[in-house]
Amino acid sequence: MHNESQLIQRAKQGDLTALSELYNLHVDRIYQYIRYRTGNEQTAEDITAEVFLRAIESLGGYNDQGAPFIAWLYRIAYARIVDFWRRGKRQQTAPLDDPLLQDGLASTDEAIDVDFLQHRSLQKALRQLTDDQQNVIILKFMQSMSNAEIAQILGKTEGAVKALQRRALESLARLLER
Amino acid sequence: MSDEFDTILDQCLADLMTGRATVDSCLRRYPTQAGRLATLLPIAERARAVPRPAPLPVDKRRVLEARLLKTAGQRAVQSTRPVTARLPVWQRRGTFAVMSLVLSVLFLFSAVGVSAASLPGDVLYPIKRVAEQVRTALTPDHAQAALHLELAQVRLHELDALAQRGEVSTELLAEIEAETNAVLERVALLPVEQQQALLTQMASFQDGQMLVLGRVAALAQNDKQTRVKAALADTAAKRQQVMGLLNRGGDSANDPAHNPGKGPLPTAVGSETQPSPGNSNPAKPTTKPSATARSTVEPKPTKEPKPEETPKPTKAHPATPEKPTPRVDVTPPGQENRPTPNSPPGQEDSPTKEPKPPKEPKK
Repeated sequence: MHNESQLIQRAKQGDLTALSELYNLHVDRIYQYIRYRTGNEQTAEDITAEVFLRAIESLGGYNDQGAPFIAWLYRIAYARIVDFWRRGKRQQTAPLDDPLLQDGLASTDEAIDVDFLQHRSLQKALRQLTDDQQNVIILKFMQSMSNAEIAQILGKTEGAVKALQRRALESLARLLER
Repeated sequence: MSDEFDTILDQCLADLMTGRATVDSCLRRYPTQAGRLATLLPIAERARAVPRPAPLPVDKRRVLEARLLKTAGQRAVQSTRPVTARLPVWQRRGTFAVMSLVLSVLFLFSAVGVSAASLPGDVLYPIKRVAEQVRTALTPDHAQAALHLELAQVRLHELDALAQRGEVSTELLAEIEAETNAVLERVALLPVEQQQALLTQMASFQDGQMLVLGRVAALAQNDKQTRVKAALADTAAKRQQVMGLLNRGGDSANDPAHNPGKGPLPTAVGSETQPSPGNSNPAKPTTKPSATARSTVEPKPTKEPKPEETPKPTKAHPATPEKPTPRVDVTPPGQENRPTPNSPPGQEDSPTKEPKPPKEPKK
């Protein structure tokens, strides 16, 4: 794998191969994150495209300052998602479209009921958390990122991320108790 | 106190996620916090159990990639200031024509160059294949064997890269087989000393090929896995042939390759004549080795292939680098206007500011 800094430098100079490689390295995670946050495949595709187009437009002025490139992409994605919700483009998500409710999980009716209810109730509760709390739950437990990585994306200290994850889990626990 | 619990909770979560602990073992380890942990740890486990969404469909991924590259290309062209504005009209027109031609040629070479890293299904991949066809047509006979070996390496590299994306291409398997067959057929056209060099490269390639096929077989399922395993067996058998030819050295007199009338080179043990799906080069008929061939191509006992040169994957998995992550001591981009959590839809708030790229330090 190319050193990421070298790839970025080459991409800034117009090297399409480097740009293509940066895109292919990160598109899946960014798309997945957006899919978790929006719950809709089409919306996630549109926002993913926006994220990378914006990144290209701003790449000339990019300086990593020691943080990975993907942290910057996540921040762009986060901003796009917030704008999406503010513009009121919340769509009615068909249950089976939501990544939290993937079908084909189990083969028996009993197992389907249990999994379906569990995931659906978690989905509903997750949507009621604050943006930062949703981010930490998704990035930490669904995308397996470290506290350090989450801290860079959210612009917080690792200590703040730990506190945030506790509050997020406590909020989820209260919501799921109801 | 809160910090202490946050640290304990974080440690338990880390242990759960790596499988070093269970919820029960965490509760036993921290009995005074067991009550709170018992509430929170199962929630984290439920979140982890949520199935992952399907990745961006491949066709849409490629369409987006093409769009991005086009945008980047347009931005590069737009950033070039016109230099002909002050020239007389007749000079401007001529210059424009010349510049258009130069740009077209540069774009063509650039496209070919950029396409070198492309994979099947990528926008630029057809350009890559056309360039290879042109090259094949222009390569003299004595260099064809080496060219086919190089093309086999390229196809293997593509197979490996696709497999890392979760795709197993049986078409590429067939093409690799065809290219290696082409090498073995054409190696006979070479002088003996060049044969030895090429067969040594071939053996090294086959070592790498078996490693790659082993990886791909682990990823493939059902029919594709069967196909990959068959290719692996075929490669192992062909490697035996190659080692046999190498060990036999320069004894080309009885080499069936130098005696066209004696029939083709022995086909690989285990390779069947079933054409693979989408194979535009149907498998060559399998004929039993001629008596002459059998008597001269005496496979040595199979040795464990030593991994030598293995094609390095070009695309690594998108794992976040593990380098130290310094704290970002600036106002986090995008957070200057911190959005209201869960803003009701329809609010006419101003758009969230884009996280400005961290600026380069002033000189």
